[in-house]
Amino acid sequence: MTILAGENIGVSLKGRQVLHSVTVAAARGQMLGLLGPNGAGKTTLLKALAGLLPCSGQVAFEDRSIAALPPSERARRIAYLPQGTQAHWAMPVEEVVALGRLPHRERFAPLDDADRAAIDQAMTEADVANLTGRPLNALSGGERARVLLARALAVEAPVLLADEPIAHLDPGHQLAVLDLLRRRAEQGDAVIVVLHDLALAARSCHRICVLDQGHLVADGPPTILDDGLLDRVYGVRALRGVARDLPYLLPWERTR
Amino acid sequence: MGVGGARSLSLFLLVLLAATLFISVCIGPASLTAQQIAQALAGGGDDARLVLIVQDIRLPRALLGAIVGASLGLSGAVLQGLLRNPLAEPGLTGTSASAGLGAVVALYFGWSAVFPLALPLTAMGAAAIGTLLLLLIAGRNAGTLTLILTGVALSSLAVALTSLAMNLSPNPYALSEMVMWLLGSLHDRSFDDVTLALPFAAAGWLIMAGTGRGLDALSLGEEAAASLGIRVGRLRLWAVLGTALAVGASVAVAGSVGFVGLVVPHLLRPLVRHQPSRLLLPSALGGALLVTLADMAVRLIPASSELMLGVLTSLVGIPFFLGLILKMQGAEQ
Repeated sequence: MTILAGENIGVSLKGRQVLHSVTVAAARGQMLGLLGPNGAGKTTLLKALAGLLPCSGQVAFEDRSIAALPPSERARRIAYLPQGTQAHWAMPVEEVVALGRLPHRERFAPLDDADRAAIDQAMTEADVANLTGRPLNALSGGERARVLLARALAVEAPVLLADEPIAHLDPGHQLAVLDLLRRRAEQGDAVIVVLHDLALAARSCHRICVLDQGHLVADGPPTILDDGLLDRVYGVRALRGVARDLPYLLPWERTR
Repeated sequence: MGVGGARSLSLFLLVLLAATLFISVCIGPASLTAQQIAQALAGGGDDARLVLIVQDIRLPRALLGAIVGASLGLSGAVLQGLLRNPLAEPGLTGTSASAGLGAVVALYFGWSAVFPLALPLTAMGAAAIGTLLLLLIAGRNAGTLTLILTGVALSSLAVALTSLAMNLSPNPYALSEMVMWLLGSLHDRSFDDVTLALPFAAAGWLIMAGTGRGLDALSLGEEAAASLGIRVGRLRLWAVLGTALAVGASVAVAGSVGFVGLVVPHLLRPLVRHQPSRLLLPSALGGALLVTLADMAVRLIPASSELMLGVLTSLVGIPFFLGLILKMQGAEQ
């Protein structure tokens, strides 16, 4: 069931057309992987879907244009995890995660029980409960990435948009985060995640969208990542195999 | 800790401030006992001269110090939160120097003689323009270096234009008035100055008090803040308006008093778990406390003529500032 739909999204930044009429939809119960080479417009599309960027076309949450939603209402429906793990202050981890509850709180209101429960849950899911009390800027890059993910989870929005959430993680935590996002989706949320790792994307996502130079060039199950597409879009060839009855791929060499 | 910790810190600072203000009123050339002071403050006492000294000379000076300090401390906390940089403060961002220029311009053209509110209004307007220029030039996500360089450039420009006005000033009396805005002082202030500054400063405080939530969200960066429902552009405008009102009003009555906005939030930040919103009230109280103490010091330090307040805060603040830069460099490497 479609919950967030972007129709004919076009974005131009500094006079350059970055996205050309992209139509994409996120459905409840589905984890959608957004792939594409550097500069293909993945982050721009994600921001447009989050309502953070003026764009042509329409973005609708359950048939309501998100441009018409008040910012705090939009914030309760769509959680957005930006790229990068910059930490500006030495705020303790649990305070950072608590920022995810801002859209649910009145001005000057303290955290209520629902807020605390959401924060605890998010910290457990993202495996950062053991970092409680540590200042954010004293953590490793991977730890910080997981704390910021917990912040986004704490919003408890039905739509989660995550921009490269595994970029700074070791393999164990990469798998843990992708499994966590997939679990969220299977529990009924809609998840869109920007990824660079083709093998992990094919393994973890229900559906894949591929962007190339601002155009949507493929949209379908992970099997759409065939040799022709990888060659056209990335200029690579992949090793493929089947293990435990599951197909896998491994980008192996350049084709040009 | 948490909210409770920030609250008890504020309460502690408030009590300390009240006590310091009373001691500040006790200090002066005429030696009075604490009991006499208390009586005179209450408006009683048999000596009318005493009431005059306390209520018309010492009290306005003490109150102005608190108003100026609260404005600077709070503005520092807000600017640091907005720019996500612990080196931002009204003196370094050019806000104070711009306000000083505005005040001098009002004096130079004689506007303040025609219309008494002209001086604070031009000071606040110039402070707003200075801060907006900083945001325009240094950009939204200003790095430390860009921020300091832009602030230095803007300050230098404002000081150069102030010097030009002094250079061309028609008479020595006007010149000495203008020098005051460069050095900063609370000497010889009356309740007129309090009533001039307080409404504008208080309006600035109220506006800044409303920015806390947005500043918290901004610690995750502008996009994450926007995704949490914060209107970042509006937040930026409120922050500029609030700091311009408070700093402009302060500079209009006390000249430029540097480094209070840098030192106070920095010292208090660890005590409120580095949360920008919880830093606001303690910074205002801490700023008031610091300026009150500094103003007591300039009166107590024996010198041929009374030290200027701004000179003292700069002398104390600059080593602190350099230390902070060294510490940040160490953290970046």
